[in-house]
Amino acid sequence: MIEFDNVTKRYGGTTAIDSISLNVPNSGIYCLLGRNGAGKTTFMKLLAGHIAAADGVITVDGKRVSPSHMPERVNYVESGAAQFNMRVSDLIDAAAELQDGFDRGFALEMTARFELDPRKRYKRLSFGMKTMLTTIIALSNNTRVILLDEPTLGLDAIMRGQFNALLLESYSAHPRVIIISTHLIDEIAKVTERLIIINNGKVALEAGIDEVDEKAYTLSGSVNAILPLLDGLNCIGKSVEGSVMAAHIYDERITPPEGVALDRLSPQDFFINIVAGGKGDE
Amino acid sequence: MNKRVWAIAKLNLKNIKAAYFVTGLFFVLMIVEIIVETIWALEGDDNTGISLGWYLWTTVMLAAVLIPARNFKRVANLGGKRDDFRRGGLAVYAILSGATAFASTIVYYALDRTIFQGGKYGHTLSAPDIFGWAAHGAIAAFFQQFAFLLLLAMFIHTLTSIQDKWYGWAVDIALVAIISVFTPIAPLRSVLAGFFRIILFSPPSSQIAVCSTLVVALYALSKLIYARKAI
Repeated sequence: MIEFDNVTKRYGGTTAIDSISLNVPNSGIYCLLGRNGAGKTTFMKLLAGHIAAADGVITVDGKRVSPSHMPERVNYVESGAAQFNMRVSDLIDAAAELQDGFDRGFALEMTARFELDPRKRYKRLSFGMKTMLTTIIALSNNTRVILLDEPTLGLDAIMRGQFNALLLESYSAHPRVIIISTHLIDEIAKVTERLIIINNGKVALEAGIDEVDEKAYTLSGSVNAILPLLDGLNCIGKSVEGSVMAAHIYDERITPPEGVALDRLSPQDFFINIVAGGKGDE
Repeated sequence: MNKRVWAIAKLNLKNIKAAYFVTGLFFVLMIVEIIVETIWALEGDDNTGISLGWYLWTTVMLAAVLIPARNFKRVANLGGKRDDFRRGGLAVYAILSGATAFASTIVYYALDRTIFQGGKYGHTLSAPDIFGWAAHGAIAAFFQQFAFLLLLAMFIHTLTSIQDKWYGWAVDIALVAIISVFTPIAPLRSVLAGFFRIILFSPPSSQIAVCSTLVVALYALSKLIYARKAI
């Protein structure tokens, strides 16, 4: 469905995306993770055809993507997307006129569900409501791929919960590829199926959330007990406090010997260790 | 015009309120000034007035700035496509240029020629008089003004659309350089004057044909520009 073949994007002397090759074959909710400036927004804008790649080829359903060939099947929504200062209902009507196959019924149902007043003008909405409306408009689109760039930025915990519910509702109504970039990994992990981690413009990991849940764990115990176990294991980070060591592993699970504890590594801690080698813990 | 293009045209027409406001403000201020001067029979330094028709041009010019600078991103965020945006923009400029040319022609025949030139203002500076558009009748005056306004709108639209790129600034500098270099040098000045003579002062058929050709050229150029324009 989506294919990045050796794609590079540079801004002046800075390489934002560095020879990325990636294949997204099936529908699903994907979480795009990365530190600030890792290349997440550039990745999304390249896929949406908003910007041109310096090298490489991007295809969606076999069709090449570029600014002169913007894929009709991809809808990109950036965080804090500007909208016309019109009534909520008028914005939905306008989107329905602009997009073939826009699900106006779903959009109206969701605005009612999330208590968005259809008579209110866009500028009168709270920040969270603006985000919710923009997301509803994007999810009501019938496109095969939806890219949401930091959609939960600035939302409170309740709004984030509602956002996740909206996402699942939309996906069950229209299964397709939904890629969400976020920093709030633990929350999005409840609804996402796969993780794509970008670090320094490269794909550091592409894996299912179940796979991460199974393979990411922490071994803790004395340094002397832990160190021999690390041979042959993919250790993504470790910390030492006196004679006690915690080693973060991304590999097949082992049966720990006596005196060594094995604990699940949360998606957040897994991410920190993958991109920063555990420096976020310090 | 397909449904999507018409939807973009409607969105643009609804969302250029600043253009309507500024035009309305100019128009009202000018009318107030004329009324005050007429009631009090004030005499100015000269008896030359500026036609109200000029102020109507403000809508077209401001729309051609606001639509690419402000509305493009908003249309994209609602799921609008680049090609539809270009077509919708051209439709809006055609509508606004037509409406402005129509209103301006009415102002010319109803106010400039009948009221003002017979009263306090012995002479009114109006576009149909200055450019000779009125010499061939009201219909020719309308179409000549329409063609020029559409060209003006497409030019401003194209120039505004490239302001976020280095070549936009290069074009700005080139335009300033052309005007400042061509104006003082007589042979170059005549080239510049010749260009403006063709798009403004030539007979209706050739003026409309040249303006229309340039509109088509700018529209074709905008396809290249919008194909590369970042959202």
